[in-house]
Amino acid sequence: MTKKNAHFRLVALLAMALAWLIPGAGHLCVGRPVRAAIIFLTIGATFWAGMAMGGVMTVDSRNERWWYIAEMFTGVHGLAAWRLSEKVTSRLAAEANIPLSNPGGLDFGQQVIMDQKYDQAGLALVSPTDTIARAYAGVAGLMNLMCIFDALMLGMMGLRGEPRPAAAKETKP
Amino acid sequence: MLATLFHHPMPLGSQQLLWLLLPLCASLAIIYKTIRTTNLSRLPLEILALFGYILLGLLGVGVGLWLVTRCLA
Repeated sequence: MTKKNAHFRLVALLAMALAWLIPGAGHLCVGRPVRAAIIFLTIGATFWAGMAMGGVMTVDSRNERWWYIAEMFTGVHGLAAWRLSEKVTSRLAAEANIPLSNPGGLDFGQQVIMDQKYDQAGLALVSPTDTIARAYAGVAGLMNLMCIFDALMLGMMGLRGEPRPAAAKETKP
Repeated sequence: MLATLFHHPMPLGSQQLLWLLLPLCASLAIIYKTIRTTNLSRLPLEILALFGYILLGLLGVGVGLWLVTRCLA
């Protein structure tokens, strides 16, 4: 492996990690600041619009595993929302004397009690708000997955900055 | 106000649901075209075009499914 290839690989991995952590940061890393700003604003706005609609239980790592995985692709946004939801869940579980550390998860009776607790606290996420809120937050994560992949590919190919007009004309679909 | 906004779910009526599709489609068009376009000066136009295609596609799927349900009824 040449020194140049190793450098490209390092930039690509850095761009990928940054793109996950802060949406848009991967494109900033490969020298595309305008695209980075657009990605940062759009993904942040979409994710937090979902959170505004669904509230703190939009990110639910226990009962909505697939949505949770999609939401975690938003990096800091997903992590902040997850931290918020864990804090609330832990507080409500402590009030109901339900241990959350059980690896098998909650049994049916415990889940019913937790659902009642969410309802009493005004946090229960019900249809159709749950679908819309999680679609916004989850789609934001999946859109960032596209951006992560794009930043990785740009880094791997050693492409930095905006494409030159001539190159742009050649690669136009 | 801000804490309540991101804490408690909003009550959404079934009338509003379809309209909430528009911002989501717009976000998708913005992100897709932002990473795909080769010329940033054409970006707004390309986003608008893709947004239109997505809406037309969804409208087509909606009409198709409506016709299927009409035929089956």
